[in-house]
Amino acid sequence: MATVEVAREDIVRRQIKSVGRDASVDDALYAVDAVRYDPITIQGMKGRDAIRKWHEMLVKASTDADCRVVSITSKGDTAAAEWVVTGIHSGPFEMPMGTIATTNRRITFRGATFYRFNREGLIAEHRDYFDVAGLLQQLGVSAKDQVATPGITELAH
Amino acid sequence: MPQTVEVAREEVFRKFADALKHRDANALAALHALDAELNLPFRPEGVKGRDAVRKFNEPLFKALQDIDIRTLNIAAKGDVVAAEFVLTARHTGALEMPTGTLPPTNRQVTLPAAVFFRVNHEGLIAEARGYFDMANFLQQLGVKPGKS
Repeated sequence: MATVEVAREDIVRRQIKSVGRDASVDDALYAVDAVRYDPITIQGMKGRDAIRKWHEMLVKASTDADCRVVSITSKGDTAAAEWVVTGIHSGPFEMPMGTIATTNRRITFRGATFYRFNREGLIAEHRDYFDVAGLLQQLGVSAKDQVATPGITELAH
Repeated sequence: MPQTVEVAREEVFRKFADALKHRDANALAALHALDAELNLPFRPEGVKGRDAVRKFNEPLFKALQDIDIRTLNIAAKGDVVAAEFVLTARHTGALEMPTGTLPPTNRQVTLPAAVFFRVNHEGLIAEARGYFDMANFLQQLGVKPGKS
């Protein structure tokens, strides 16, 4: 396997391992102008600072976060990973639809991420796919206020 | 060097996308191994077996028309092929949802999704895992997923 693919897989593994645990790692993984889309923030995050800020909120909102790789695949400048994360929701979770107050519930959910890397080997694009309905159900809240049309849809045009 | 087997596995996704576009439950089922397993957000218990895959898709293809798949990326490694795509469709028939049966809304829906297939030696899908947001999908159809 090409060295560049090994380096990318290493970045993917570090990103997944850091979820909910250590937002400072983001500085070594993402390009300064990286963009991230996910089904929760809807409009996505533009820039490494915004990505790290969101991650810092996640770290504060969770305890015992443990995100594990299920599979990693790659092609050209793209990599894809499946993961499963567990953790306890132990702090306010700030979503665009509103803040979910601490539930102290243990949650487990699966998701997938597609990454595009730049020439420096840093993550330039990060797109998450997972089921917000299932996540909210575990937290015991309704998704009724969620807004449609995520950033991924706009990207595809 | 590009592995021929990985190219062949990418082809499985293209056939999958074509079967969706043509709303062809038989063609879609034929891409799966006899003991294939599907894992999807609204089916936590899973779908097991080629026949179950066909039965799972038939009502969906009756409820949705004008299905289109815009593929964003395909990536493969070993026996796993991953794809991200945006599915669009029009909801024109009764749809069985976790929240109950939804009568036709005639609404256009847009669903960004990722699928990961494990492809066996016969080139058939042995495992399929789909990732997408049901909250967003249901909201586009005017359903409140919170009250089930």
